[in-house]
Amino acid sequence: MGRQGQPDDRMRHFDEDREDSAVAELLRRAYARRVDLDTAARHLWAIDVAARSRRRAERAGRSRRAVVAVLTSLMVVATSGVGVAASNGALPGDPLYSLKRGTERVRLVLAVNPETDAQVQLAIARKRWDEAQRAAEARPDVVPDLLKDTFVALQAAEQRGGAAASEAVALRSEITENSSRIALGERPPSAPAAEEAPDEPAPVPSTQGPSPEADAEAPAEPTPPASPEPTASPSPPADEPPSSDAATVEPEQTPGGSDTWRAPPESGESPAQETPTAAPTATPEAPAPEPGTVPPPATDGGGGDTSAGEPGPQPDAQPGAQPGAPPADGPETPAEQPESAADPAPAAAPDDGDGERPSAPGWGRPRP
Amino acid sequence: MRVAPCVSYSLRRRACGNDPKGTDTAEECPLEPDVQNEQGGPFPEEVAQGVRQGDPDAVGSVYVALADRLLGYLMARVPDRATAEDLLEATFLELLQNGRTIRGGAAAIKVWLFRAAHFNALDHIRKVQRRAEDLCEDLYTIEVADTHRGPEDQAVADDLSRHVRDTMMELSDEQRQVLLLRYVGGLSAPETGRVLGKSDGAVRALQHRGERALARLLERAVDQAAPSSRDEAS
Repeated sequence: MGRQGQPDDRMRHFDEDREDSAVAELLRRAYARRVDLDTAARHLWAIDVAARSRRRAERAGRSRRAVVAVLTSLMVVATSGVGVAASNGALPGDPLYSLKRGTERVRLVLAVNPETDAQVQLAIARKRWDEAQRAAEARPDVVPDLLKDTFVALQAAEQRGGAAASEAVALRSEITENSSRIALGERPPSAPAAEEAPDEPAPVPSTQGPSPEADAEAPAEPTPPASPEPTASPSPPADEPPSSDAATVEPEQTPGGSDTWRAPPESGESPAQETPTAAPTATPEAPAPEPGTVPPPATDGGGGDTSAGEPGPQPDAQPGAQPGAPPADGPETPAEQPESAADPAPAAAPDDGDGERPSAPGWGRPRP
Repeated sequence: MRVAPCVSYSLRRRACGNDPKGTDTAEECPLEPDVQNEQGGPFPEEVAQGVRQGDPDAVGSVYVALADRLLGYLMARVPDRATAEDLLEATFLELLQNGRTIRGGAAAIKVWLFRAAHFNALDHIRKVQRRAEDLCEDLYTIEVADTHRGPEDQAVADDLSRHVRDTMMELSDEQRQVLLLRYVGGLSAPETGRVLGKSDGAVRALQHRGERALARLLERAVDQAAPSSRDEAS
């Protein structure tokens, strides 16, 4: 023992704050544990729920006991590992949906290096896309947000590069092809606020498309969804959710097209509507022109209308502006937007409803 | 919600492609020291501020940084994994609720968490003991050790680790708690003192004596078991 080795070995131990490495290793082997993913997701979800309950209770002046009761009942659901697995099929609005999102959040946090993060983002994008497809018939109102989130995740995956990035690009084109189907199922009113912002309108690999559109002729090109192509550039926060575009997209390709759109379709006017919202992102849809032409459509919910506007001007924005108008993509894609590639984003702006087309700031945004 | 600079060793292992579910124990993992952020704390100070404001995301970041250590400690005190996880959850919910009252930065929050975990474990053990005593009033008092042993002790894959856990139960409560907080929880001696309500000197004395006793007892056990033994601290 240390007694002979070091004269005041024992005294030293009392004076120092040190670790015995052999003991350390033994104890860590015997006791160290890691929290597994399901448990971590449950706990983080519980923390979120507790915070929200408390905030709500504080506002409502309810007693703490009520908060505890709510938490307990929720905890019953969450405490089973089955809950996490069962939440995989949840759609927005389902009680387990927040648990599902909480699990994803945990995975994101745990992904420390960029490649893992890209994989997780890609998986999330797939999930959002799956949810969007499933919700298209039953709950169309959540689809635009889901599509938007899809593109956010896709962009994140693409930015980080690696194997996940190329898969993300493939997924993006798949979404682009299919989103028109979803758009068809959507009703214009659902056009959500333009949050498009960050999403890239993935649809349409955006071939800049014929610039003629830029002239705003965008005849009922509601499809703008293609708008700002997936360029990695983070679409300006302003992007208005192209979702409205989705509605607009209808006019173009869909036979039925959104009703509100019908009117505008004739002229690329709809672009006017879109333009206003035109996501600030680069998709400079070349809006400007429309405002006058399409005024009527713009007035309607703005959401739907804007989409209409997109088709027109978009051509300009294509370049890469994908300002995030992805959500609208769904409907837009139908438009095959080669031109709209850039548009979608700007079109997303429909929320603005104002017709101000963003000057093509986004032009020339490099595609990711 | 990023915890980039302050990732515990187990999370870093996970990031490098190891089992993401974390069901395997630390035995298979190479031991790495905890990564600390620039200020030397377990997580960034901005997160600490968020905790004091009751922000659930900040509490979540703290969870990611410290949950492994806390769970290890809790599972050492309450060897049933499910119970330990429940206590872990309860501890973090307490942090969410009472975070405003914590004075100090990230290090203070870490100490607070271990203290809360320590008392939650103690409360649970006492409750179980009380319940057992109520049921068997006429029988002999349930040995304290029984409440400390549980399924996890059986589930430990490594023979040596099982020895270590058994031997640890032969130390005094205080010695064992000091060793668990120092080595499993990763706390410094002063932090351990704050959790247990002891002075620095008392902690170091307990640690030293505990280590010696553990080494002695393990030597004996290992010698009796097999010649191939891991080197002890002595």
